[in-house]
Amino acid sequence: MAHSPKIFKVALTTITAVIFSAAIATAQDTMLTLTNSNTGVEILLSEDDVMALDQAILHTENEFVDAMTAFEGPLARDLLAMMDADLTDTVILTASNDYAIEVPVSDFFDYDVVLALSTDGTRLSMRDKGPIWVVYPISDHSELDDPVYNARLIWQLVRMDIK
Amino acid sequence: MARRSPITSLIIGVMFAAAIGMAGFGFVSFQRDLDALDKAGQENISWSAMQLEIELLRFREIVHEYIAEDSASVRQVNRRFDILWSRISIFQAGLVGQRLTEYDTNGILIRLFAELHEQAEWVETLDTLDHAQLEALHEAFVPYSIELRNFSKTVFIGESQILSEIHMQMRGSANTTLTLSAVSVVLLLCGLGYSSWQGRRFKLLAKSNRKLADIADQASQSKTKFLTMMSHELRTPMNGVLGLLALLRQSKTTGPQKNLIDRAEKSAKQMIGMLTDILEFAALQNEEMSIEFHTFEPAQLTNELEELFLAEAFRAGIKFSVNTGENCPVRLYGDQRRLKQIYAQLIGYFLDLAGMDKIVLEFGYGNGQLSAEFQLDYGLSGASWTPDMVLGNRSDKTDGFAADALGPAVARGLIKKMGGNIRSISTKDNLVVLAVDIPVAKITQSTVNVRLEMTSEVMATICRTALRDSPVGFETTGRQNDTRIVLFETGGLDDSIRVAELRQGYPNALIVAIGRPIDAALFDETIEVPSQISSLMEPVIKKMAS
Repeated sequence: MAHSPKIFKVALTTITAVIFSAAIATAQDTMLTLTNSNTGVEILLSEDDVMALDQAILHTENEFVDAMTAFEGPLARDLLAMMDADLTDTVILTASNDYAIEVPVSDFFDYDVVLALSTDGTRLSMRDKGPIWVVYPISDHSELDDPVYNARLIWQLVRMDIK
Repeated sequence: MARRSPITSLIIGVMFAAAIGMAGFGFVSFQRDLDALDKAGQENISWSAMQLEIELLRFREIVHEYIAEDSASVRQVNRRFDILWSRISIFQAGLVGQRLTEYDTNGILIRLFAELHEQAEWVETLDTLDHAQLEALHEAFVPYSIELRNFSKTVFIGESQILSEIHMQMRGSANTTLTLSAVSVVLLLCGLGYSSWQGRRFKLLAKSNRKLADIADQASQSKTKFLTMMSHELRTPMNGVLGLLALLRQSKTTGPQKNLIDRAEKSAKQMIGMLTDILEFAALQNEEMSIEFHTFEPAQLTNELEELFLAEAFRAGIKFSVNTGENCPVRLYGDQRRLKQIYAQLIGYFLDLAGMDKIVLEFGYGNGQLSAEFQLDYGLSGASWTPDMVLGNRSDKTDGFAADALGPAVARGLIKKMGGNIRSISTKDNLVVLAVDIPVAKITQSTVNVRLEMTSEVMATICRTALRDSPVGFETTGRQNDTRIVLFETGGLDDSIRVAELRQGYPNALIVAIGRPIDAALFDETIEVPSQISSLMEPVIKKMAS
């Protein structure tokens, strides 16, 4: 697995701080829940925890925006590293309206998929696909301009479960 | 290279263009259909429309639960409200929003979004509302449920129609491509049929041409045979005439009669010479003339040519000389007889030319070739001449063949056969300079040592005689280290023992069997007939000598 060293590197640098803060997050202010049924890991991340991660900026278009937009937030693979994910795993992304979709973990290592917290510098509200919108770099990779990947542009993300 | 006929080129061009056109059309059609299909699937408008209806129902349900003081909390109602808001708001941006708006002919999305704005304050302060206000909030969204259901239905039907149109379009493209493929196959079969027909036609044409060529070749051979036969037949009586003239000369004749006899003899000799040339020419045409290699001295060739033509040149009043240049080796290895024949033909032709004043022939050697340079001064009495006939440049469009062209033609044929060429160096100021270059090997080593392993002195003498003109030296006393060839007379039962001894004694020598050996594999070469020693051994000796 070509990405394995990267997984562990990210994991080592972030997991301690994040798990510590996750441990003190309460159920009420949890923004994102991460679980891995293979390893038994369960991490509850508050908004501050997510904000504390390295933030990436992705410029892309998709079928829900009018023009090239700057999406900012942590890379999805950084969170998967915290979950001790394997490239062969599948992650189930769940939105607050209970919409869920299965995505291969390899997607997030093949592409810079961002869990966007803001667009063009404006924080995403619950009423505008927030607080987390999964965004693929469609403009940089033409093969992503496909119904399969468009269905993975899930918004109001609340859970990531590895099965 | 055979040129393709215009019709064949046209058919190939049409087939090629048709194939490219069909391939291009098929590619564009399928690309267009795939794009349309991608677009239809990508936008997923039906899903988005249904989500609007579902989220409205779920919001109404949670409000209803809150009113009934069931398990729903203010936070849960607000969350459902926000989710509904996010679903409605997507019509405001992006391709999905644009497509949804196109279907929203009744303005349901705009009205519902306005309703959300209006009710937002009540939802955010839900815990301060009384029962009547909560009921009003719930009832405010009831009419939109039915409208959204109709909207979803409209979108679903619209999208289905689009997909149906795409399917129809794809079916049409498939039918068109199928038709074009069928046309292509028919064209291909036609092309193959035409190609096969052309192939058969060319085969028949080639057969016919071969037959014509055979007939022409037979005719040429018959003509040459006739010429050869007639030359032989004419030479015999002409020799008889010469004999009779010689007898007549010995009788009592007067001065004028002797003069007549001289002229008759000259004419007869000219005719014999011409007949000889015809025979040579015929031999060249039939490729019956062979080249034999011997060692010769250019100086000797020079003397022979001078002796042959000096008297004739003197009688004709032409200054004639033949010289050997300083760079010419003492000994060369080639066919002296044929070389002499070439130069003699040319000199004979030049001597007969009117107006020739001086002929100088000088031999030289360079780059493995014997070079003969003819300096021809023909300016006497203002005569003019060009060497076209000698060089073979004359474009003779008549059916005739000039009698004086025979000598140069024989010379050119021999030069070509020996791998040489004739060329003009200069044609200025009444002085024509021609050069004849013919490959001839130079003898760089005087002798190749040969050992004669013979059982009889007669056979040894035959071998010595056969190789008398070759650059060889015969081993006389004891064994010499530099012996290169051993000629071995075969026939004995103990050949193998003796050959093994010779191989040991002469490890670097070539062992050649003279006669028919019991085991030919013992020897490097075999010469069955002793008289062939000269012709078969000369190339080997020449190679070793150089």
